[in-house]
Amino acid sequence: MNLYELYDAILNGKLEKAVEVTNQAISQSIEPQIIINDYMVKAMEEIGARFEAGSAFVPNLLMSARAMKGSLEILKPLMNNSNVTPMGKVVVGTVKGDLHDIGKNLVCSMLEGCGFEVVNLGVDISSEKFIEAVKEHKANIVCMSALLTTTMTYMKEVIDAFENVGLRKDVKIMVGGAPLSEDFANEIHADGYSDNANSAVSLAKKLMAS
Amino acid sequence: MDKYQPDYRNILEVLYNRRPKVLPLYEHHIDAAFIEKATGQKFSDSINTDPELYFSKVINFWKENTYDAFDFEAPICEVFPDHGAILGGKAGPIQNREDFDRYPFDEIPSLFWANATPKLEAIRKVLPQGMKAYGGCGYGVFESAQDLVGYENLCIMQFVDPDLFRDLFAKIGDLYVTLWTKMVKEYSDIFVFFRMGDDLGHRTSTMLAPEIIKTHILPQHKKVVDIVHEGGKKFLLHSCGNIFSVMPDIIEMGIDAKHSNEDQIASYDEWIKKYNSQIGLFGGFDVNILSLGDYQSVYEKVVKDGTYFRGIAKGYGLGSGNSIPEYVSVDAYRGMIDAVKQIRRNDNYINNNK
Repeated sequence: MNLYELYDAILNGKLEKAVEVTNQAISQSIEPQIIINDYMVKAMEEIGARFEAGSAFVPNLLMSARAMKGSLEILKPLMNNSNVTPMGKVVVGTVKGDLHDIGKNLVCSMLEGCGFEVVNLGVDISSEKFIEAVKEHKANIVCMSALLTTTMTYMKEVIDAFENVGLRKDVKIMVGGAPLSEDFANEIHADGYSDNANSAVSLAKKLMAS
Repeated sequence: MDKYQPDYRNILEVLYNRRPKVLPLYEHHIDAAFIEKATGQKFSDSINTDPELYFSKVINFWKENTYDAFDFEAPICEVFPDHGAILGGKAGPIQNREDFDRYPFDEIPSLFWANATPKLEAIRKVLPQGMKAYGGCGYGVFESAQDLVGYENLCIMQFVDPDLFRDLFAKIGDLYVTLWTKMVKEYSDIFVFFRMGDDLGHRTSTMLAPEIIKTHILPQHKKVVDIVHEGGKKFLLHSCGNIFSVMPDIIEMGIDAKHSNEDQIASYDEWIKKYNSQIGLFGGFDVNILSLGDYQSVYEKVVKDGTYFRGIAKGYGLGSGNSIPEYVSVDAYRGMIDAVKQIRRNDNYINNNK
């Protein structure tokens, strides 16, 4: 078998083919770590690079993430017995007062597709709910989204709330959304900012490694 | 200074891509909640019970703030049975071929006109001298597709069921032809020009690949543009996001003007430099400026940048890059309006001393 078919299937967003090749790889006892790191993650990195370069678009990202997720579902039961390190657990939500969720959901799809465990809290999320979710799921990262200039200021309240309950050092906080900027993220003492779903994955990886 | 006399022929000059004698103000929309906040008068509940009262209040606000015309769109998506996916949080009513085949598209025109007619008739009755509306049928072709399917599912549908994806846009196009034909035929007297809003971009790119937009969405847009032109009216496209990759095709399909800009995507003078030789342009001031600024900072910025934009553009109407939602500061908004009045006074002074 040729594992580059898996790379191609994920790069081109072919779910059925990705699942088929993954099953073949498992039947040949290939280590999940090799399947994931050498082929699947590489394919996601390539589609992400194409998105950044303007030669791929959100639908391509979603299709690749969908194919990646399909393969990961098959590999998950085997991962406990292998050397695969989980990418990390991310709690994601649109902040209180804001009901927009398209961008936030794209970030969730990309994070899941790239191997993160995602807890999607939905929209209109208060600081209490973010904190509760981090405690419950032992999350590594909190990812907040806002589309409105009036709601993005709530992100600082959430960060302060994590500080107040003594959890700030245990969790990385990343922010995104149309009205935000790197400067704003620095101003509210977030750990990172990304302006699209693909760079959110790169940022999450970077934060996990830091 | 004499009270401002609205004259819709002034803003219409922008659609001909000519420099209007008086710098016109333009907004995609001003929320009724903002008007209530600014005037201290509650009236938004009356939209269905007493539309004449509602539109009198709305139009008076636009008139008092020296606009030549005001926005009105009769919303298409809001009459879609089981709609709402465009707001996120739920899947739309069409997820597969079976859903598509049984969706009551044929019922939509009657639902649309039942909602729109009382409002359009009310506007016709209360229109002040010199003012007209702009807009028409609300929501764009792509927005309707998102409301019926959901954005993410629409992206997936493009690949897993391309025939359904194609048929969906064609069906929406047919619906738009039906609705827009009647709108132009029966209500051209109250509209100075027609406008469709269809947000095709996000911050860094288009929401779908440019080739997909060109193949499936723009041909439906063009049908509306042609209906409007055949009715003897001009057409404005409002479309948010980074859509530079499809702008040549959008201009090619015949739009007369374009609105919407965000500073995070491009400075407004980039829009002017790229397109002012071909189409009229509206906007210029990112909504964030009006949300976060105070009266003085907005006033100074709009006088300075607005004068510059008016100087370098041909057809140009000044306003926010999008709309005036409830959360915009009333003081900042007044700063923008007063700045436009100042630019007009400066224009007069220059003209009188030539």
